[in-house]
Amino acid sequence: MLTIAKRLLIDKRRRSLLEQAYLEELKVSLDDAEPIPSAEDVYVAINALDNISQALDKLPIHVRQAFILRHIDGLTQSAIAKKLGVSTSMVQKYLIQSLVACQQVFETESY
Amino acid sequence: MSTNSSVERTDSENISTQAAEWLVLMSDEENPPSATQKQAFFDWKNRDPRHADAVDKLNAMLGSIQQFPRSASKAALSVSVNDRHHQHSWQTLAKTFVLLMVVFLPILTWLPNSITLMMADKKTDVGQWQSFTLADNSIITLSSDSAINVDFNNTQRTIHLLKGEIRVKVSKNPQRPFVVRTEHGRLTALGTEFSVDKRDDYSLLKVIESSVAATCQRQGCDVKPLHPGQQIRVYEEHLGKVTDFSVSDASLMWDKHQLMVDGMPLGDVLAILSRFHKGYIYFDDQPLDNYHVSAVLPLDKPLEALALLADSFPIKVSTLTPWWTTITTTSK
Repeated sequence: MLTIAKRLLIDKRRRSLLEQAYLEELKVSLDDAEPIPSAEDVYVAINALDNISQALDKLPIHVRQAFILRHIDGLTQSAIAKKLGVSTSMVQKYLIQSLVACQQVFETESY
Repeated sequence: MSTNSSVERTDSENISTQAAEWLVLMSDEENPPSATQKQAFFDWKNRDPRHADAVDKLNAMLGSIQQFPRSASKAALSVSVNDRHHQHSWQTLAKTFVLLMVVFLPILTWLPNSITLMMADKKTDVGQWQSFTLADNSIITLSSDSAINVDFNNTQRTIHLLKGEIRVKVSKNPQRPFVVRTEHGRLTALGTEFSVDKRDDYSLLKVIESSVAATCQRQGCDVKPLHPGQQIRVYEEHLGKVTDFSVSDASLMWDKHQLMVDGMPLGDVLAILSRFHKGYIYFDDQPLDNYHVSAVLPLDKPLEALALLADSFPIKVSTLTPWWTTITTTSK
């Protein structure tokens, strides 16, 4: 019970922190003459990011960083390997691990 | 949902792992997949609709991320990275604890000692001499920078020498032995006069009148009786050799505050003087112990005593501040 309650609290806290960071960064980057996202877009984005973040949360920090560097920063596998100081095959392992975790979260979400 | 058998679950986990593996392999721009690999991936997708489904889902998720403003997404996910640390705050707690111990352990070990000294029944400052008459009419004199606790009861009179040097003139009482205790040992007297000097490694007992029985702290340590003019070093684990000293020189120190030495190594003399000086006296006793001092030195004026020594020995006394004096050898 306590663990569930704690988990929920953490989830809620993460969600609000994430939302705040997202909106703040969005405000800053909006100057770059990008089209202003609609409220719905923002909601969808935050929701998806929250799910991903929830999935990555249980994983080691390197796995998480690998995911961000690959899918958000768009770095190549060898660039990530250099940045994290591990081998490319290790990066591949990280990426697979993070994708599996994301899948699981999205699956439980859809039920 | 609940009808899912564990076999199916493992199966679906397998599928998602395989899908992830394929995607990572297929999306590597540096090592593009070969034609055979592409074909294998295609075959795998077609083998089971769940395979294709898993790949589509992953692609959809990754595709959607790329739609979001990049910097904002990164900021959002990075926040959660920090959040991880909150979850593992016990680690922070452990680190803080270790840090606190590192800071406070030395204080914790130093504190009881200094509190004991602060709470001592009788104590003297540096350069101060003081005599007290105790409840049994014994007279106790504390030299510079010394501290004692007095613990009298019906069967025994005990003085705990915490620091420094004392001289005791014991008032005779065979029913209540008079004992001086230090961390090194126990000195028992019946009506007598003697002094005890507590140093770092040992306590030095000098018997001026009558006799004192000396024993060290160790269980089953010898008990040695000493007579006037005899001195002994009492170490925690054993007793040193009994040697002679001049009673009149000792009395000169206690009564006139003059240090009378005859062939004492210079380093030892400086060590005694430093106990009577308010500041710190720094010296390396290795070269100094080659010189032997025979002199009468004023204990109440340690700087004058140092100047006297500098006249007769190749040493230089430099006082940087009143709190720091350095003594160096000069090769004359």
